Amino acid sequence: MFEESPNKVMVRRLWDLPIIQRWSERLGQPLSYFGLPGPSISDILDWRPYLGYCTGIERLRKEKKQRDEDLEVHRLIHKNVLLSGMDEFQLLLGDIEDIILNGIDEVRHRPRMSAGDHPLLFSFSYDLVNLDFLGGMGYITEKAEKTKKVRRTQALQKLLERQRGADFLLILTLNVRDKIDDELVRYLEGAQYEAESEQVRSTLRWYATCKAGMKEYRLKATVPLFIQREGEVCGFDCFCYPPLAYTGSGGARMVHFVFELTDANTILHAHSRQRIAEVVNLPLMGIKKSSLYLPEKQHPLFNFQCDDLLNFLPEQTRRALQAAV
Amino acid sequence: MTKIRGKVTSKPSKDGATQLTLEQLLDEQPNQPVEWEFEAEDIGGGLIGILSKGLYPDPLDCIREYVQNSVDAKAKTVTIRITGNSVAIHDDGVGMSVEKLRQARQLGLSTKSKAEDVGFRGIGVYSGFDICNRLLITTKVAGEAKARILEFHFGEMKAQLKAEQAVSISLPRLITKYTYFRQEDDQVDRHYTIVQLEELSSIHISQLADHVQLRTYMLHNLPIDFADNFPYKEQINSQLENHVPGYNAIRVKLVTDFAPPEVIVKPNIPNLGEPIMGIISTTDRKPVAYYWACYHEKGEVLPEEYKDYRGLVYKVKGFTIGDRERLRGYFPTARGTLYYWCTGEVYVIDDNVTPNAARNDFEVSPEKLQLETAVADTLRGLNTKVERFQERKNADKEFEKARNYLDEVENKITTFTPKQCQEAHEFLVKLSISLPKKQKKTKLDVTIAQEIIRRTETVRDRVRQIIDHPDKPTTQPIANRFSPANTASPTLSPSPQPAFPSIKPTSATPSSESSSDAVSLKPPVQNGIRAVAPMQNSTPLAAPAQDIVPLVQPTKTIAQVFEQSGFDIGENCTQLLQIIDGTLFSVLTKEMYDRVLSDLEERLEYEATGEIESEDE
Repeated sequence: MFEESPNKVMVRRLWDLPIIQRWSERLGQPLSYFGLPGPSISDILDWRPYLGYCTGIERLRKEKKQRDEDLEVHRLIHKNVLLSGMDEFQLLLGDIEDIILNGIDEVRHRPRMSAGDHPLLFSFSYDLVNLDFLGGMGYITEKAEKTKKVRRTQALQKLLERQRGADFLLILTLNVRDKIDDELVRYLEGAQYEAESEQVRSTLRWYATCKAGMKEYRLKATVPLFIQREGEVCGFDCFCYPPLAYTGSGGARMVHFVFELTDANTILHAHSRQRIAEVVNLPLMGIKKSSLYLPEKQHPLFNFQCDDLLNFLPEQTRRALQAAV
Repeated sequence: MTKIRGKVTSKPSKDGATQLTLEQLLDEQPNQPVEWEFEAEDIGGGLIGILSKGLYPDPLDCIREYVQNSVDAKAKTVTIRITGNSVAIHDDGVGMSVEKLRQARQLGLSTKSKAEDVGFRGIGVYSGFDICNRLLITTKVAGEAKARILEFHFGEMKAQLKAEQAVSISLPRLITKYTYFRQEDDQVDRHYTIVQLEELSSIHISQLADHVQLRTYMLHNLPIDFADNFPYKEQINSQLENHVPGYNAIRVKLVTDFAPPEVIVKPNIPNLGEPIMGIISTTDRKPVAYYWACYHEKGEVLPEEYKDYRGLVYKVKGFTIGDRERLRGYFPTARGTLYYWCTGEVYVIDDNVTPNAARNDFEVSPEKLQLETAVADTLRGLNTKVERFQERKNADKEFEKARNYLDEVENKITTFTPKQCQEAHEFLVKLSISLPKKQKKTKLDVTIAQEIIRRTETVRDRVRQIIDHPDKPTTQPIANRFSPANTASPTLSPSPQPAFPSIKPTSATPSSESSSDAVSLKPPVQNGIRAVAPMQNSTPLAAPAQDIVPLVQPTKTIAQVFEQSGFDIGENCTQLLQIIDGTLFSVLTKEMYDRVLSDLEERLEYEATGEIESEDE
C-alpha cells in the first residue's frame, strides 16, 4: 500500500500548516475540507485544529484485485477516522475528477458542502480543497486527442466553477510526469502575449524551453497561470504562494502549489492583484533532508532577496531557510 | 466409512468384511435403526441466507446485533457511523483476542454466558449477510501491539450460491473459502472493536440513514442510558446495576453524513413522579425480574411527544423484548388507560427465561409462565397505586372545582334567574353529597376540605331560600350579612369581608398592660374591681340602606361579645374580629354561629370572674 515520504510530511507541516492557520484565522471559522486524505488521513490529522467538516474521496475501481485494494483503503480510512474521534467526516467513493465533474460519487452520494437541485449544477462551498494527486497534470488519451479535453484539467476548471462565490484555499500536488508537456509549452508561449514587459516574456521563454530533468520548473510556471486565469473567469482573485518541489514516494518528483482564491464578487471575470510578473517571478522552493530550502536553480532574472514572499512561514522556519541560503 | 468428496457413501458391514451403502446396510439390518453420519457437507451454504433473512429482516436488526457484542465487551460508548455506502460500529470495549475472533466466526455456537452476556446464540455476526458485501471486524486488546481483522466476503458468498444452483457448496466450505483472518501493526495502547459493513445497497443505506428511524429504533432496542438531566437517572441506574446482572447502559453516538452528530439518550420526560422500583418474585421468592416505573404527576397520559415511552416494556440486559403494549393487559382500570400515565421497564433476570431469536417474545417454558404471572401481580399492584393516585387527583380537582364554583355563585347569585338558581341548586346538592365521600381521598388539609363542604351546604341552603322566596329582593350578598354603617355594598366581594360596625377602643386605663394594639384580657381596674367596659363610642347597628335588606341578622358579633365582657380591644383587633366573624358566619349555620358566640360569652365571663377572685387574694 502507498506510503507517503518524509518530505511530504514536511511539506504538510512546515509549509501548508502555517498557510492553513492563516486562512482559518482570516475566515474566522474551522475550515471545511474536500480532498484526498489517503488511508492514514495524515493531512486531516495534521491540520485538525483548523478543520471542520471533512469530505474525503477515495477511488473504488472495478477490477476485483484493485477493488479489494481500494476497499482495504476504505477500511483504514474508516478505522482512523473512528479512532481519532472525528465525527464530521464523509467518505465519497470514486475518482475525484468524476466526483467534481458529476457532482456525486459512484453510489450517488453528494458532497456534504454542496447545494443545488441537480448534481451537474451543484455549487460547492468548501474552505479548503486538497488535491494531492499521485499523477501529473494530464494524460492524453484517444478521447482527449479528439476532444481536447483532459480530465484533470477539466476537473480543476469545474471545481473553480462549482466553488464560485466561496473563498477557498486550493492545495494542489502534481507529479512532474504527464503527457501534456507540449501543451504546457504552448501555454507558456501563449502567455508571453499577455506579458507586461520583456523581462516577463524572457522569463516565460526560459520556463518554456527548460530541458529534460527540469520539468518541475515548467509546471511551476504553468500551473499558477492556469489556475489564476481559470479562477478569474469564475470571479476569484487568485494569489499563488511560491511553489515547492520535492521527491515523494518511490522517487517521484512532485510539485506542490497553494492558492488563495478569494471571491471578488464580480459579474464579469475578476482580476487578481498578484500580476503575471509576480507569479512568474515566484521562487521554486524545495524540501531536502526534511528541511525547506531555496534551490540555486531559479530562472535567470530571479531575485534571491525574496524574504517578503515567505513572511507567512513561522519565524523559526524562516531563519532556518535564511541560514541555508 | 468411505467418503467420496467428503460425503459418506458407505459403511463397513457387520462383520467388517465389506463396505455397504446405506441401502445395503438397511437390507442387512432389517427393522433395525441404522446410524448414518450427518456431516458438514450435509449443510448447504444457502442456510446462512435463510437464517439471516429470516431472523433479521430489518437492516436495523444488524446494527442491534453488532451493538450487542459491544455491550458484552463492556463498552461505555458506541459510535455508529453511516457514511457513503458503509456502516461502522466502533466501541471502546475490551476487544477480542485471536481465539475470541476465531470463535466469532462460529455459527450457532457461543461461549458467551447467558447470565452475563446478551448475545449467546452465535448467529448475530451473520446478520449482515443479506445487506452488505463485506463485513470486517477489526479489534485490538489493550497491551498488544497488533490489531486483528476478520473479514467476511458476503458478496462473494452470495455470488457463489447464486451461481451453483444445482450443486450447492456446503456451508463450512463456503465460510472457509470466503472469510479471512489478518493482523496489522497498531502500536497505540488502546482497545476497541470496529465492525464495518461495506458496500451496502442504496436501498439499505437509505433505510439505515433515516436518522429519525434509526434513533427511535436504537432507543427502543438497545441499552441506552438516560439523559443527564433526568432527575432519577442515578437512582434507577444504581438499582439496576445492583439487581440486574450485566446491566450496562451505554451512550450511543450516531454520526451520519447529512445530520449533526448526536448522542442518543433516553429523554427526560417532564412531570414524572419518584420512581417505584422493586424485585418481582415468584411465590417461593425466586426473583425473576426487577422493575422501575414512574407515573405522570399531573395525572395525565404522557405527552404526545413521548408517546413511544407510554407504558412498560420487557428488557433483557437493556434489549427490548416485544413492545410496550404487551403489558397493558395488567392494568385493568378503565380498560388500561392508566397504563399510559406510566413509563418504565421490567428487566428479566431469570436466566431460564430466554428471548426468542426475533426478540419479540420469550421462548415458551414454565419459567416464562412464572415470569408473566409474577409480573402480572406486580403490575396490578402498580395499577392500584396509580388508581389511588387518580382518585386523589380527581378528589383534589373536585374540591378545587367546588371552591371555584362557590366563588362564582356567591359573586353572581344576585343576578341569577330562577332557572339558574335551580341549576345551581341541583349542582350544589350533588356537590354536597359527593364532596364528603371524596374527603378521605383528597390531599387537601382536613379543615380546608371541611370548610369547602360547609360552604357548599350553606350556599346550597341560600340558593334554596332564594328559590322558595323569589319575591324577596336578594340584593344582600351572602358574604355581607350585616349592613355596615354607611358602607353598604350591594355587590358581592369574592372573599367574605363583611363591614361590621366599628367598635372604638375604650378610653385609656391606668393599667399599662393594655395597649391600643392588643386585646387586653383584663378589664380596667377601678377601686380593685375590674369594671365592665362600657360600650362607649360604639356605633349601633346602622339601619340598612333602603335598597339593602339584611336577610339574617345575628344577635351579636364576636366583637360585641368581647366588649360586653369588659375586655379592651384595640382598633386592629376589632378589624381582625370582624374578619373572623364574617368567616364563621359564612361557613356555619346561624344556629351554630349563635352557639359559638354563646360559648365564647361564657368563657369570657369565667375568665373575668377568675381574674377578680385572684386579685382579691
